[in-house]
Parts: sequence; structure tokens; C-alpha cells
Amino acid sequence: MPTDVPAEVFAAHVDGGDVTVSGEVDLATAPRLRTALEEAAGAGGRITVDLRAVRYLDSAGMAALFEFSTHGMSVRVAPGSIVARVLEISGLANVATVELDEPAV
Amino acid sequence: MTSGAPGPEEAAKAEFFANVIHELRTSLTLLLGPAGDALSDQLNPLTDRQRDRLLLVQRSGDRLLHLVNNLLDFSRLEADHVTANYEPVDLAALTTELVSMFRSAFDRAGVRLTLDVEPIDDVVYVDREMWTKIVCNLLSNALKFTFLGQVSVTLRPTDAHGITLVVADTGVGIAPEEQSLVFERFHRARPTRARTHEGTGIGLALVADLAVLHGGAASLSSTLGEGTTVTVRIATGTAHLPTDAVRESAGSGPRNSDSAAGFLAEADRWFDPAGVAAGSVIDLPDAPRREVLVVDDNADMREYIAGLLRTQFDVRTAPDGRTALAAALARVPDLVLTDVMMPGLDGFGLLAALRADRRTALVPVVMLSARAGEEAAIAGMAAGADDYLAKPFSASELFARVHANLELARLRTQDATWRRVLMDTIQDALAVSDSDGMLLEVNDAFRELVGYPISELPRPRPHPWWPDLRTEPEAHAQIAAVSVQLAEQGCGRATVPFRHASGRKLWIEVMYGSVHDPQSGQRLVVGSFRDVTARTEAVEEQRSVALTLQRSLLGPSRMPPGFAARYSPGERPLEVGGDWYDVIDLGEGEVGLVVGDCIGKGLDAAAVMGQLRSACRALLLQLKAPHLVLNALDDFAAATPHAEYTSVFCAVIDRHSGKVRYSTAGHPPAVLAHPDGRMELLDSARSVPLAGSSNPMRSQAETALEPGSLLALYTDGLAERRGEHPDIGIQRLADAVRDARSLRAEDDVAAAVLRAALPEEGQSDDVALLLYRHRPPADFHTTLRPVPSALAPARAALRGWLNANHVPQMELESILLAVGEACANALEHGHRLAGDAVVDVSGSIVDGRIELVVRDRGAWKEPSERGHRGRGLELMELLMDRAAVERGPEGTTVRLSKELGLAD
Repeated sequence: MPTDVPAEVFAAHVDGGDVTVSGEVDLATAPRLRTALEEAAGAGGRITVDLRAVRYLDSAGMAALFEFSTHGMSVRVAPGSIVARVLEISGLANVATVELDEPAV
Repeated sequence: MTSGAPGPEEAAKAEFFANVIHELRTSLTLLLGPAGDALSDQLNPLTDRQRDRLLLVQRSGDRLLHLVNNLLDFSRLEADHVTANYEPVDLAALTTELVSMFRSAFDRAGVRLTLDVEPIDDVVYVDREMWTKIVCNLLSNALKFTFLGQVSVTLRPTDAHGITLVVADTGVGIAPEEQSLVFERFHRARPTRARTHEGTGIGLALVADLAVLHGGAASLSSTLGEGTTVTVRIATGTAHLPTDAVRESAGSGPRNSDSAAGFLAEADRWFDPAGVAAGSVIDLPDAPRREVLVVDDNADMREYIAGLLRTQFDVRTAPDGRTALAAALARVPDLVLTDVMMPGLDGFGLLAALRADRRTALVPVVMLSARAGEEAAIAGMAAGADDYLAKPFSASELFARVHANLELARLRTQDATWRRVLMDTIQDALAVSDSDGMLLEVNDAFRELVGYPISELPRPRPHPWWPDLRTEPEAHAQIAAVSVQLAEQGCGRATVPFRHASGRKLWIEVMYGSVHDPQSGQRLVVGSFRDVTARTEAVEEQRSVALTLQRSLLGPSRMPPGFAARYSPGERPLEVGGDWYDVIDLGEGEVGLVVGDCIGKGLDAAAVMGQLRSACRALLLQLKAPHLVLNALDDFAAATPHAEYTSVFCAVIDRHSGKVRYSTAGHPPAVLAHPDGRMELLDSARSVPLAGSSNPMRSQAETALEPGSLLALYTDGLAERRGEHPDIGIQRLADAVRDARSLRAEDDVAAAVLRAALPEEGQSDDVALLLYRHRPPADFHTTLRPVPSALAPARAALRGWLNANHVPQMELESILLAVGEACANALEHGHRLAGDAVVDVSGSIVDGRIELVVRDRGAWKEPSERGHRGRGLELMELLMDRAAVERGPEGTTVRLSKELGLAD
């Protein structure tokens, strides 16, 4: 039920192959992340996902990332964040490029 | 000497010569007189050593006087000042008398002396003294050069108014080229071998001159190696004599024995070993013959000395220093008699080499030298010679020196052996060192004590049994200081650490005193060493037991979160005391805190403390009211020996409300620092120490903790300092607690407080400190509908609770994710759940550990399936310490837990 989710909880912006995500990705918001990734993949090139403003990413969100990692995905995360740790634990770094970058202010 | 009258110049020279000799004789007489007086003084008897010295003076003086007298005779002849008294003499009787005087000397030399006197019909006029000199000179010469065989004396009339005296020996003989010179004054034949090298070379010349004065002459025939015959002829009657010198009656001349005495004394010295031996040596009958090594490059001298010494000693000879050294090292002799001047290794070199080798260092060395005089003697002595003998020397001198030095060496060795045996039989370890700390001597017990053989002595400090400077600098400094003190003070007692050769640490009690060493003139320090390791270790062990006991009785080894404690034993000698602290969980969110201080130190105090602590713990669990606990403890302390006057601070804290109830029995007030920096002293409800009065009225007071408030309980050692008002110490402690309160970990706070409050110079009393930072117990509970949109609000609630409990950011995010996964799992099979079913999430933080439980009523999918659900479980396991999934018919329960570590 996406309508239940307030805007500050999750937001995804797509610009060509670039996806910028913020807020929390869970069972409720993961479908929206998936939609955004699908749109970016439709651009035909590499997908770049900026997760630096994401403060929660659970296994549902990870599943979406894994699904589109075959498109030559590049992921940017804030170093030392829980998201970076989850990506590391889940092994996404093995199938996608993970860049550690400080979040934009 | 010519028979013609000397010219005026010659006469003047002779006169001068005579005067000089006269002066010499006077001086000698003045020298010999007192020496003789001293030797014969019965009232003030000489010591043996001084007697030996004066005898040497007397003998040498006599000899010198004799030589001077001979010279005087010559000078008289030369100056034509001879005052002779020719008188009719029974020459046969006089000669027989003189010869018989020599008999004993010949006997001692082992040379046969025969006398053949034919009757003399003519009246013979002779100067008795001159005749005595003739006979004595000839006999002493014969004895000097004869080693085997005999000397025959013949006196008989010749046909033409003459008498001949023939002295024939079987001695060494005189080389043909020397024979024509023997009657010349100051010429001395160079014999291959002689009993002595003494002599001025005037004997035969004098004889010849004297014979001329008696109207005769002297002649000599000799064959090298066979013997020498001297013939003296004199005339009978008075025709050849100056008339004014002729006396018709006999009897007014000097006694012949006076003149002969000098010769006899001289002869005695050539060969008098028996006499010397009898006088100065006591040889034990079964004593082994001692061995003397004779070293001289001159074969005659070497053989002469060896020949003399062989009568009493085993003798080995060596022609030079190098050979002698090899011989001495091969078999150590009892004494070495060495010449100074030798080719190659000389006497001083040999001496140095002998002294340098441990085997021969103590062998007495007597040096022989032609360099007479004090200077040479000093050089010899300075080089370490035991004695010094200037050539020429008499046989008796030689024997005296050899015997004296052997005896000294024997006594020295005996003394050393005796001392060593004595030292070794003493069970205590002994060591002797000089005032510089140089170790000179140790006994077997000492060697055993330290475990080192110590074969090389003397040896300087530091010694290998001292604790190592690098690894044990303190112990090393301790022993070095004692060593210096020992050397300086000379007597005392100390206990020092040693390190046995095996590496074992020893405690050694050393008692030392000093003695004056008469030999070196030094002050020596004698120490006796006793191993007191067991005793010292017992003390150490008792301390260690007390400390262990103390620590084990102090309180829980692992403090609950929010608590920290420190115990620090006092420094020696006070060491362990009777301080304690305790933390007791009383259940229902209450916890009891106790800090106490027993009177006394060491094991006893620790034991008393243990009993009180146990009693207090039991009473707290039962009564839960501090004042009641202290009242009951009064009774217990009264019944427990040494427990009275113990001071106690007792508190009970409600961890939910932060309420503190407390009571004090003669103990300093607890210090409370609030988060805003406000300080509070828990100084109400004070009363006397335990069992201090018969019926103390104990009360309790109450105060409140805020979250983050820091409470400090302590014993007086932490606050009190000698000569300071207790309030000042308490204030200092309060400041320390306030300053340290912002440190996150209570353990760090405790360390900082201890550091700030303890005196820098070290504490004399033991110290206990107990800290509590108030943090109310935390519980979390929420429920969520089984829809994904419920996840975010639930997470927000959990995040708020975790933040309120100061869970660090990374832990917080991990916990949120793990719980989120558990909830997502529950929601995923929510379609199987009833519409009103909820997912229940609860959490609590207990003792720094967070426990979370997520419950639903559904059945989970198996995680073996590689989907994101399986990944979810994997995440939980990795993010938490523990993640357990319990599946049952009623539903599924996920239990997650994580240690929050030192962080709160």
C-alpha cells in the first residue's frame, strides 16, 4: 500500500540510468525501488543507484537490487553506514560495483 | 811487595791506605759491639727473627773485620810499619794447635785433614801472629777449593837451617797460566769450582810476604783437577832478623787463637749446613723432603749451591729462567732459589711468571744477586720475592734463608689450609672481601648457596649472583647499595635478593663484620650469608594469600553494568587491609551496595572482613533495609573476634525509581554527582562503627538518583591523608568524581577517581572504591498489524527506545534491521493469519544486553530456499549475537540478542 507511506519515509528519483533513493526501503517501499530500477533499466545503459541518503534497507530492498544487478549496476553508499554493511554482508559487491562516497549535503 | 824500601810517594799512599783501614776497623768494631751486646742481652732478649738478623749482622761484620785486618797487615807491610816480635817458638806445637782448630771445619766439610810434624832441633824465631796467619791462610784456602779427598799438612826441618810447611790439597787445582800470579797481591785465581767466591785475593800474597819476613819464601805447584801444594820455607836462628825485633823470651805475643778466630768463622760459613739446620729448623721425622729448585746460569755456583742444599733437600737445577719455569710448572717445588742476572728470562722475569701462575703463585722465591745493597733488595722484594740473598753469602746464611722461607711458606700454607678447612666446615656461607668490595675468599657453603663454582678469586663486583641490572633494576640497586654500605660501615645486617645460578630467586640475610688484616694492612669485610628465602617467601606468600582472599571476598569479580569497583592494597609493610565492597541483587529491581573497613591488616583482617561481608550479604537479602542490616551486623560483629569498630556504608537502590536508602556505621559519607554537576554528600543517618556501643540507634536516610547520576562509595584510605582534615579529603574525592562523571565507561571513571584522589607518593592504607551510575532498566513493547505499512512506525518506536537507552548508532541500526527482518517474515505469511492477528515485538536491556522477541501466529517458510527471506534470516544471524527461530503449531517466535559491550 504505497499510499500509506509518507514522502519522507521513501523517495526515488530516476534520471535516465541514474536512480537516487532516500529514506527507508522495506517490505512496503521495496516495490517502489523496483519500479524505479525498472525505469532506469529501460534507458538501456548501466544503472547507477545512489543509496547514500537511504538509512534503512532490508532484504526486500536487497532483492530488488540483486534483480537488476545483471544490467551492469553501480551502487553508491555512504561509508560506515548500515546500508554499506548490508551490501557487504549480502554479497551485492560481488555482482555490482559498490562505491563508497560521503552523502551529499 | 818488594824487599827494597819504598819511595816517599809510595809510603804516603800506604800511610793513607792504612789510615782508611783503621777507620774502617774502628767503625766495624763500633758496629759489632752493640750487635754482640744485643745478642747476649739476657734481660731484654731478642725475638727469634731479630736474633737471626743480628746474627747475620754479626757474622758479616766479623767477616768484614777479618778482611779489613788482612788488608791492614798488607798496608803495614807496604808502609814498612810492621812491628814484629820474633821470639823462640815451639813451632811444632803452635802449628799442631792451629791445625787442630781447623779440624772441625774440615770434618764438617767431609774433607780429611792430616798433620805430619817432624821434630825440630833448631831454635826457631817466629812472630806468632804472622805464623798463625800463614797457617790459617793456607788451610782456609785448601778448604775453600777442596771438595773431595784430603788436605795434608807437613812441618819438617830442611837440611840448611830451615823449616818447611807444606799444605797439599786434592782440590780443584789452579790453571798453569794462573799459577805465576797467585802470589801477587789482589790477584785471585779463577777456580772452576770453589766453596765460596769470597775473598780479596790477598791470602797467598800475604803468606809469601810473611815468609819473606821470616827469611824464607813461598812456592806453589798445582795440577788442574788434582790439587795444589803450597810450600812455605822459613829460616831458623836470628841471622835474618832485625835485632831490635828479636825477643829472647817467649810469651808476650798475642794469643794465636785470636787471629785464627777470623779464619775459622769464615770457614764455618762456607760449610755449616748441619749447624744451621740444628739451630733453626725443626723437621718432623716423617716430613717428606722438600724440594728446592736452584736456578743459576753459572754452573759452578749452581752446583755449589745444589751441593750444599742436597744434604737436606731434594734439589733440582736449571740453567736459566725459562727452563726453571717449565720445571716449576711441571712439578711445583717447595722453594725457588734463583740468580737475578741470567740470559733469556732473568730472575725478575721468572719471579713474575711464577707469581702469575696460580699453581706457583705461592711458592717462596729467594733471589740471589751479586748486586749487594739495599737497592737491589728493595727491587727484589718489590717484584714479589720472599727473600733476597746478596752474593757472596755464606752457607749458613743460605740455609738460614732457605729454611726460614720454607717454614714461612709452610705456615702460610698450613694457615691457609687450616682457615679453608675451618671455613668449609662452617655451615653458614662465608665470604671475605676487601673494602672496595673485591671478593677475596668464599667457602663451600657460599658456593653452594649461589650455585657458582667461583674458582677465580679475587673477583670484583658485580657478581653473577646479583640480580641482573637490566631485568631486575630495583633488586640490583638494592644489593649494590647494601654492598657499598657493607664495605663502608664494616658491620651490620641486611636482607638482599640473590639470583641462584639456576635462575631461582633467593632472599639472603647477610651479617657482616670487619677485621684488620695484618698481612695487607687492609680492612677486610667478613660476611656470613643465610638463605632466608623460605622465611621471606612465607611472608610474601602470606601477603599473597591475604591479597587473594581479600580480592575473592571483596565482591563480585564481574560487576553488573553500571557498576565499577577498585581495590588497591596499601604499600609495604602495611600491605593488605580489611577493606571490602559488595553489590547484591536484591530482586524486584533493587540492588544493595556495601563498602566496609575492618580494623587491622593482613591475613587476620582479611578473614574478619570475609565473615562480615558474608553476614552483610545475607542480612541485606533478608532485611533489604540498610539500618536494620547494620543493627543486625552490630550483633554479629560483637560476636566475631576483631570485628568490632568496623565501619560500613550500606545502601539499597531502587533501579526503577532511583530512590536510595542508606545508613552509615562510622563510615565516611558516600558522594553523589548528578548529571548537571550538582554534588551531594550522603551524610545523614550516621552512627557509630559496628559493635562500637551497646545499643546504637541506627536510622536510614533517603535520596534520589536521576538517570546518569553517579554514586561513589569508598573507604577512608581514599580520602584521608595524614595531617589533613577529613573534610578536605572528602571534598577532593567529590571533585574527582564530579570531574570524571562524563567518562562513558564506569571502569574509566573509577580509574580516574583513584588517580586523582590517591596521593602521588603512594598510599599507606588500602583503598576500596565502588561506583554506580544510575540508569533505569529499559523495556520495549509494541504490536503491529500484519501489513507492510506497519513496519515503518514500529521501527520508529524501536529507534526511539534504543536512542533513549544510549544504544550506539551502529548497534542501533543493526538491531532495527534484524527486528525489521523478523517482522517482515511474520508479515509475509500474514495471509495465513486471522485478520485481527498482530505481530508482537518486545525488548529489554538487562545488564548491558539487549533481548528482543518477535512473535506471530503463522508458520515460517523454510530458510533453505534462496530468496530474500532466506537472506533475511542470514542478516539477522550476522547482525545479532544470537538469532533463534522457534517454530510451533501456535506460531513462530524469533529471539534476538546482542551484547551492547562496555557501551551503555
